[in-house]
Amino acid sequence: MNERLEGLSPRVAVRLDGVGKVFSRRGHDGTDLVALDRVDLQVMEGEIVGVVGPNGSGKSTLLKVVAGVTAPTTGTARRRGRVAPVLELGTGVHPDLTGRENAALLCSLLEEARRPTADHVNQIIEFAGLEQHVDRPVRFYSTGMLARLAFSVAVHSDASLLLIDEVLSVGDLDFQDRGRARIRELNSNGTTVLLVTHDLSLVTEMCHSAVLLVEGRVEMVGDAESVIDSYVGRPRAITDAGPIELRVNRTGLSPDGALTVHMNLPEGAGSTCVRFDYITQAPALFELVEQSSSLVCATSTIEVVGHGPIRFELSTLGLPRGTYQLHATVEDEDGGSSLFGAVPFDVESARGGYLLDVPTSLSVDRRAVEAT
Amino acid sequence: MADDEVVADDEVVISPARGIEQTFAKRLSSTWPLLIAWTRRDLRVRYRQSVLRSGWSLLQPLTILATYGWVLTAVLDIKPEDAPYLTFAWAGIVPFTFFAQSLSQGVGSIQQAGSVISRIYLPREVFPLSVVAMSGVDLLIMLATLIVVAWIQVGPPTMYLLGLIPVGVVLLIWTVVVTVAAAGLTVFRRDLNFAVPLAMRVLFIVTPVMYPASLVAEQSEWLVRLNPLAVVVEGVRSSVYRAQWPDMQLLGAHFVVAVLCLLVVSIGFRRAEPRMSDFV
Repeated sequence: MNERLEGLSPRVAVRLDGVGKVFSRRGHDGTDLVALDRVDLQVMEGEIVGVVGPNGSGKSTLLKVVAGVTAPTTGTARRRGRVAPVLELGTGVHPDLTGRENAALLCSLLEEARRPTADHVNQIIEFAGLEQHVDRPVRFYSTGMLARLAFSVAVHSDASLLLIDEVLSVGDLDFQDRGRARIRELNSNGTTVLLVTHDLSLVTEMCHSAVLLVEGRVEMVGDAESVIDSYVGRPRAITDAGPIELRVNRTGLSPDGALTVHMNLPEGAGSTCVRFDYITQAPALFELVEQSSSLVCATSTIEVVGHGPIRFELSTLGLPRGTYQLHATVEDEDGGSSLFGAVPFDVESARGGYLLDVPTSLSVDRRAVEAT
Repeated sequence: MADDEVVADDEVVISPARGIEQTFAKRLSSTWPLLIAWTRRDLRVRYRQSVLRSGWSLLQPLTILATYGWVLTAVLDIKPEDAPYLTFAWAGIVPFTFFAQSLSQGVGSIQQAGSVISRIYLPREVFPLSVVAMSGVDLLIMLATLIVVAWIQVGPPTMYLLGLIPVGVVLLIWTVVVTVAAAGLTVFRRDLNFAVPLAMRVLFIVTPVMYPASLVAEQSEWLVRLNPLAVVVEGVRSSVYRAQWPDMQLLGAHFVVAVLCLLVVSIGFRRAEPRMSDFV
């Protein structure tokens, strides 16, 4: 008998043996999509394990296999005890049912239909902070409210294994804090947690260990910090946030009184620069400012001759995670200057907490000016 | 491989062939309560946001009865020999509506529950079965109206009413077989969404619901004997107002075939189930 086919040893909560998942796409472009590729993984009882990796690396599929929602194409998954997937927005809910009815229904589905007591449902609602809306159909709920409800149901079930797929980041800050506290509380009572997230600081903060998935393969398993370091060290593909356009009308700035800033995050692995294109006809000064308005870097005043964009490059995106703003200061015709709105952007997946390590500089690509 | 395996009680194994491995008994025991919970949801949701609410479950068959009844009695002058037209036709409409409603609402039920089945594992037959259960509630209400109508027009119920039990069993098994199979297939190929309404119209015409089975020409009699719904409809008429037992031989044959089909559908459904969430 193959050793792999043995049951779970004591204290093991989840074990994957050579799990592969291929989505065949006959009728589409004909190629199969390999979501998981021979994944071996063992999670001990009472652990919080972070699952990280780029989009499409198979993180959610991994959770689905563990939940038993989809069968692996090869290999076997085993788990012990009852599982509670923290559901994505709107799951299991019917828009015409009230918050209370939905919570009760979700409970029934998770607990194999033991009908929840009114007390239990009240607890869930209170945790979700939805007391005032509980008798309205969830049709009227915001996505944040729905997510809070679903999260709340899962963390109040008696499951011994919690599967969380990026749900924690949906609620407001207050709710996120309560959610984290609740997960810790459950965990200290022995609940095992598998946490899929792009929020790397959450992983370092909460997880005992982490798994890095890349293109369906386990690239690294280990303590959370080293896995994240290895993940962050990889050349990142920054997703295109789309052009963000800022138009401000003020007299005296330029003949048409407008300044436009485009922000494009170029795609492609290895590319780590951000370009801002702006159009102005007045001399301008740009500053990159962190949310707490501490200046990260700034350019000297740029004289623009005529119309046209200036390419603006951050040589690397080694910024700590957070929200940043790009400010523009434009000289008035009479020599004064006025601060111009801001282009906010978020840096989502970068080194957390390495404030000293900011190799960013702003530089202006003059060629772009001259070319236009 | 299962023999050598040491599998603890609370251990769940998820394999390529079957998804979550579970014994038939365990599966059945987890299906029941979920079926009840999901049916309760369906019943609750069904008529929300509508004005007539549960009036709809009677209005639909009554409208069919009124229009077809008028055309068939007043225009085509069809007269059943054994009972007034209302009793006669209602006895056909009641079981037919149960089947038609189960199938037409059940065919998309797994697909519509996509958000649930791609997140939580539930035995997927819960969704079509809960549609059947919901139609079953309607069936009981309509059956009560049928018995009242027959009482008024023909006479009080007799012991032959017990014939409804075997008739009901055959109807139920067939409805479950067809609804579950259709719901499962629709996950992979959406064609049935379009084929089912068409099939229902054909079936309504070839089944002696609005016209007496005795009107069917001799050379077409196989149509009535092979069609389980025709056998059921005739069985209901016998039990409710003809004061005779249904054709037990014919009913028995249909029962055997239905059970065999149920077996085939169960096995096929279980095989297809692990891949369903990849398609919704």
